[in-house]
Amino acid sequence: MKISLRFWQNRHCKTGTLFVLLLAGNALHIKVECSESKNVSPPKLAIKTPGVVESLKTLVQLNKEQLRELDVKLKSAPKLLSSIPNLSDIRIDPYYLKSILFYSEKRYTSLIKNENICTFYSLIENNLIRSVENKVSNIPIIYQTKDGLSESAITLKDDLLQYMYNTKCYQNRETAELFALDNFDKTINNLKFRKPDSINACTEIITNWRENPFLPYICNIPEVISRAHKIKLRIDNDTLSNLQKDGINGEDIKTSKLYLEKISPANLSYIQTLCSNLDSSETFCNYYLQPDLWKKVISKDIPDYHMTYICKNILQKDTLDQQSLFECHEHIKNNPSLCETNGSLNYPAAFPRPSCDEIAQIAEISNLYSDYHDCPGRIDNEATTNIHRIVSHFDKKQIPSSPQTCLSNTNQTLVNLAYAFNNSENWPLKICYTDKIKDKEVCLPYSPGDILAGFANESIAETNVVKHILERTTEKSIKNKCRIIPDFEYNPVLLEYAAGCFITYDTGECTTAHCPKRIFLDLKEIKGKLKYTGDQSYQYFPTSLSNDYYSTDNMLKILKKLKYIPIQNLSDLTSFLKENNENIVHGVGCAEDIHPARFKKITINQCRTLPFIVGGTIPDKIKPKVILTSSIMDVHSPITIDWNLLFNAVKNYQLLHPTKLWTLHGIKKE
Amino acid sequence: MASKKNKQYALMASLLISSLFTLTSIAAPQKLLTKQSIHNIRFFSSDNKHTYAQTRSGGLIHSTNYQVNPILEGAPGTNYNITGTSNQKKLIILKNEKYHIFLSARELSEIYVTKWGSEDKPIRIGMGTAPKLHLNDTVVSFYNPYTSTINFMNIDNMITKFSLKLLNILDPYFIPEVIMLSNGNVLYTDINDKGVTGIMLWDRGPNIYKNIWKASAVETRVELCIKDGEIFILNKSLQKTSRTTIHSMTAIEDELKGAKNIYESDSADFGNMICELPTKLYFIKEVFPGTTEAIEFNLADKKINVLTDFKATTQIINVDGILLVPHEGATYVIAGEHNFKNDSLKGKTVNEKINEEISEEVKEEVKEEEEEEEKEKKQ
Repeated sequence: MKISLRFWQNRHCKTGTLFVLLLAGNALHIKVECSESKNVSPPKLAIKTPGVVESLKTLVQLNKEQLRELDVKLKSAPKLLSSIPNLSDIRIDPYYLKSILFYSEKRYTSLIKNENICTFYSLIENNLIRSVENKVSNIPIIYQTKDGLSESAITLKDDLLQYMYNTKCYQNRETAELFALDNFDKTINNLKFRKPDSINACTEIITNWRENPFLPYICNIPEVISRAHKIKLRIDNDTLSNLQKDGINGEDIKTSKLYLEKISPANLSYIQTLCSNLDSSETFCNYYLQPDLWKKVISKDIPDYHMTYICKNILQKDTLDQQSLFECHEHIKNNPSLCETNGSLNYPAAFPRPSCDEIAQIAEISNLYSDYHDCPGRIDNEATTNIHRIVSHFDKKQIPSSPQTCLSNTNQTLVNLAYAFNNSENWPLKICYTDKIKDKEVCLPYSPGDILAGFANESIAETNVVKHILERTTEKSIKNKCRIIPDFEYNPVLLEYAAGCFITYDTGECTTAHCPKRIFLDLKEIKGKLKYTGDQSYQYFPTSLSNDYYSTDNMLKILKKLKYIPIQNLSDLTSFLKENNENIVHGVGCAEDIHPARFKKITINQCRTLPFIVGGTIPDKIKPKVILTSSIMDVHSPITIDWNLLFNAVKNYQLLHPTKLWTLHGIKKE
Repeated sequence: MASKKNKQYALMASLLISSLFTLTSIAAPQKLLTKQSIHNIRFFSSDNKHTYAQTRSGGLIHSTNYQVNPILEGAPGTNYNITGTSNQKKLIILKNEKYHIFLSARELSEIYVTKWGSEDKPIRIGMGTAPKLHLNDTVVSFYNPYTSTINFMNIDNMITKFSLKLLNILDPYFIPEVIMLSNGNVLYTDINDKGVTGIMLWDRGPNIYKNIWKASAVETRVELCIKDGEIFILNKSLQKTSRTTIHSMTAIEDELKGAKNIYESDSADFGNMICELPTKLYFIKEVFPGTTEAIEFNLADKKINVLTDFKATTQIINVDGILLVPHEGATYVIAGEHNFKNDSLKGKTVNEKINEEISEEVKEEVKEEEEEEEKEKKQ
């Protein structure tokens, strides 16, 4: 682009050139031509000229004053370009140009070069460059007529663009047409978003993009989405008055919706990364050549469950869109310790969790699939958590998770196994009551919490069983199943609690077996009529050779058609996990060896039994490591431990086991 | 890789800079060998007079003077653990009948108390975990992780009970460290609502809680140990990034005075400190990045002796003043005085001698068990 500053006085020109160099360094290629024209009278502004060495603040302030003065002078001279007779040339006022350099982002101004003057106008068209007034709308210009007259005026952005597109930048008009909403789908699908696989390829890719006339139109996409997101947030947060809401321009929301529908998440992520790093090919290349876990999720290269559950806790949101993942990534980058504590109350597990950096290094290597969030701290028998994780891994389903359902989801897996295996008679958890008609105590099996309608074994959900018992004992007909809620939520003053059955629990002290509960029916507390009994004792691995049929290990094998391979050494473990990325290894070991800084042995042969899953290995000749998710840890926060520690843990438990069973087995689909 | 190297350099530097600490290695520890499975033994006295072991049928037996007596009975698969102190007055027994069918890091066991070496039936005092004897074996504390409550009971009169509830709501698997300075003052660890571990002093009289120590980060855990009025505080990290320190303090008339930093390291030590033996502390130290060993730390000259060479040592267990290290299913003696060498069966191993204390009756049972195991293996 050639922006002629011939009208500048030499002193001005010198300073202006310096501005450009100072502000943009070598990346900005606006050629500032300093020559005097006999025919042009520059506007004389009564403002001092800054020295060569001035602070940026002073320069910006000076520019503001210059523009204010210009605005006063030109206010009376608005022009439609079509109304100017014999128009021969138009230039943007140099003070306004300076303002653009001050207020626009370097990633966009760095695109402006002599050879592509039209890029400058497409940047204006897409609102990617800004001036002192933020959005470029009215532009001060200096125009020349064929008869040599030079005048200053102010014109509308659209008017200027139309003039430029009609006279010089014909291609811009065509490109704009391609990115219009009607053609957008086809245009975006024809574009190739090539990911780099080497530093040379990356440099070439970013150079090609920077020269691509489509780029300003492409970079407009994340800008629109971001603006729409902010507007939606303000609407959702109800921080706007009705008047403000009425005044919202819904254009961005509508366009953003279309973009999100038509662009694949992977391409959108690519566009966002590209446009954020136009002035830094190194950052762009690092993003693709050295991607961490979070970037891979954002790029849709790996499943998003690695990140979404962590980010839901960090951002305290129930649902996340692509923009939220970006936002979360920023938080994680700036403060990796966020992963240590967030979510600890809603999804209790061993505290603290590993830092985000530690998770990022290993989570992807683990084969364990975990598109859900469980809460081991609310499960008493850690084997139940392990079983839930193994079943969920092989089922490969997303499980809707919330702090209210994480306990029942985990227990439900065990219920389903027992019932599918025709072992319901041995289901240990029961609620007992005195049946007046039968005149004896009756105990009914239950699964803690709620089970959603239509899901297997819904009838034995605690919410249904309590309802049934209350109907029997109070002889009242209860319309809906009971609702199970935290005690702080139950508020008898509110209408929604006025009728029906509610089971309340203390969130601070609630696990499957240890959970003081209160039951309310139509506002009245029911005391002493129901008794919760039993605990979830069962064989995870068989404890004797003659009685292994009902061990959950065996149930899983038969019902889920799994095959078990004994893992005796590291080489078995490594080759088994590498054989198929669906393979996982499970086992039981001593918590004091798996988490030695957390659990201390105080007696000889002490061993707190701890089931775990191994999802991967990290080879190292001296200290090989395994990626482990023990059943007390958050499922999204695996850790690495030395193979030797894991071996010790299993060995020490083996020697206490009644049949000296080696409890480290690979699991794979038959 | 770079961070590993840096850590190595840091470790070397810390050793070089601090002339206080010298790291030396001593001979490999002696393996605890027994004729019967060591894994059935639950306690033995250092004078070799008392041995407690569990049987396959679910019982707990006590053997002394060539006599074997059943102490407790339980269902097959019942697991026992026993702990005592150097006062040799009381033993605490944990009994868990569902040990193999209820896999839990927060296992609640039945807790019994019995007189040291007595044939009397142990008395059940409650359910909990991590029991500990205090004040010359007159008080026992145990913890209930489900209610976050530390329970105390006077085991001289079996009547006086009191408890304190922790603030911790963030770590369900936290087990507090507890020291009773006197009947009225309890020192314990807790986690606040920000997740930071601290040491609290509970003055039972006016029921005042005072925070006397606060960790610098959420990943820090604190161990407490008391020996002759001197309290040792070990700060360690649950992550692999922080340093380990040990401070000592003196408890004078229920007041803690003169905190001194006696050990500092950039390594990620597992800790699991034992302070009850004279003049030395024992704990698990990361001697090289990723390599953990049991060490003794001489309180006088701050010299460190590495006591094991297992590369992955995790725990030290104090059984009546004899320090044991479990490793890959075997148990090793690393420290502690015992009178085995003065026994008439001179020349035999510790375990052979312990073993011979167990009567023929027990041996027969063991033999039966072994035969059963053989059969099962063949099947």
